[in-house]
Amino acid sequence: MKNLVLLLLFFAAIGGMFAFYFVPKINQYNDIDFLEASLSKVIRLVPESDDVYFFSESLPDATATYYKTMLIMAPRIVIEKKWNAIPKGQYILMVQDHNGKNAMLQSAEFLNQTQLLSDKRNDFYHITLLKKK
Amino acid sequence: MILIAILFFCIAAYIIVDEHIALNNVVLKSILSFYFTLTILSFCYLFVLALGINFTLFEILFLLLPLAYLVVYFKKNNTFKLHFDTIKNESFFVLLLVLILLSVFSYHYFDAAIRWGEWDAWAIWTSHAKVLTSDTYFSNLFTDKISWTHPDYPLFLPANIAIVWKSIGSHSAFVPAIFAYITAVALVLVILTSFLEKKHAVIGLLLFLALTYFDVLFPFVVWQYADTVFALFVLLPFVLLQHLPKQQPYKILVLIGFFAAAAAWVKNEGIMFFGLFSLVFFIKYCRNFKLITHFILGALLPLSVLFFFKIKFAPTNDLMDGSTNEYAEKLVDFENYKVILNFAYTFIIDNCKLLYMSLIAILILNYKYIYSFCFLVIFGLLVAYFFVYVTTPYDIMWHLSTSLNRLLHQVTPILLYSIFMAFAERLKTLYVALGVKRNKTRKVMRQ
Repeated sequence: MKNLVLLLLFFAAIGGMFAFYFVPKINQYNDIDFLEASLSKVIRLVPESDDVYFFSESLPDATATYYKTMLIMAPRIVIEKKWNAIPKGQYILMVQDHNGKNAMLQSAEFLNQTQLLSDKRNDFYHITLLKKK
Repeated sequence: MILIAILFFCIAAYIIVDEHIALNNVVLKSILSFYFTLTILSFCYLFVLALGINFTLFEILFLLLPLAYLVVYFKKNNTFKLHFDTIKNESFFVLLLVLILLSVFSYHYFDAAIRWGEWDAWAIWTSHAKVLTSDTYFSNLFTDKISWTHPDYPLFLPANIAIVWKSIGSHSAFVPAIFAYITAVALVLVILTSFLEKKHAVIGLLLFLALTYFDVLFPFVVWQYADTVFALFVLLPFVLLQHLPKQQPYKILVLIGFFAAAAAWVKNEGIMFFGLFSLVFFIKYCRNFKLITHFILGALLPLSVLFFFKIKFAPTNDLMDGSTNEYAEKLVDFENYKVILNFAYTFIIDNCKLLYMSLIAILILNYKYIYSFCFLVIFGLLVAYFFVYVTTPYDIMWHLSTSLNRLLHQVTPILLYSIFMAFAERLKTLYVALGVKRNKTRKVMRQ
């Protein structure tokens, strides 16, 4: 009997710790959620049935922003490193963190090939949505 | 609905384990049943996606199957007795200590928990899980559409997360986090309960204290990586081997074969582990064909599913993409050997104090430990990892710095378990020998 009471007390303690320590930690929004919030406004412009091509000229493969975007956009995201490989009429997402630079967005030739749907910048990210003409 | 289905499947699996395997500990049997259920669930989900079966239909079927078994079981037996005797009969003091340590462990875990986990968790495992929630796009995971997230990785963890996400209708960060917590607790409880089952409570509690107090499992267990699940799947076959009954050991061997092969369904390293485990197992039991047959029987299902996945879906592993000439060139470049050994030595000395000190202690006390089944398999696994580093197509320092800690985390629980178990067995032998000597002395004195 003593053992069962002890077991019940233990479950109560675990339940309490779960509620007071674990739940607030997991509810604490981080970079991924901030990026998701920033992306959600842009992604609404893309029809549900379309893929979104993730393209960046300067973002190296192994940056956190690259992978976070993949997680948020999965499973609709298609990673494409070559601009010419993206088919015409497709939606293109470009995401940069505050250190990143997209020189292509300054190029008139590049802009001529695309339709700019959204270009938003906040303290953390610069998010551009384009459609290839 | 899937959570209820999992619960029923667990109960059914528990009854099967309870009836056929000679283990007394309720907690150990529950953990075995739970991870058996999750493995079967992830196997089924692969076929649900591959065959385009409706998810709701799958949930209903997964609920009905164990339910049908339970109905038949209760009709046959009329009663179902959960053997709580082990808890009731356990010493109050031992149970109090176990629960205090478990509470401290949980507190550490909850305090260190991170939303979405660390890098590999969100870049690989949860990312894969999210793709697997889609009936239409799931095959994107195995193409170059999602590059550099290791699309060849097995699906145990992502499939289970995806199933729960799909069932609750939300991509909640709690699902991978709770799953990681359950795995962390299961890992320490499997070790502890195995010691309690073997009546080595003091040594078991000492190891439990070390796992709770020192940074042995932390912070890896809170990162939500598949490496902790893999560590558990590496541990389970050895724990079951430790409890191999002398009479009729065949049924437990089916389970050993199942978990050893299922390790390859958690991480690719599991393929290497299963190969080595089988090799040592076959050498050890080469004269007992029946034992080997039961082991193979248990491994058959996980291996079949793994082969199906690897042949039908998974692309070639990034580490296996080179040519034979490239591998040969790297194998004779001895500079790499030096770099790897130096890095590993420094890392182990700085970060794995408990592990190497326990290893030195057991070798002094019982040098025969190096011939033990467990040490041979794990040492073989580490040698295999060493050669993966030697032939890596990536920058060797980058590869070492991003993965060596995880690889050591995979084998630390099993190494500590086997070292402490060997220590407990040695103490028991010494104690028995001492007892016999004392009795003889008493007899001589009386005469």
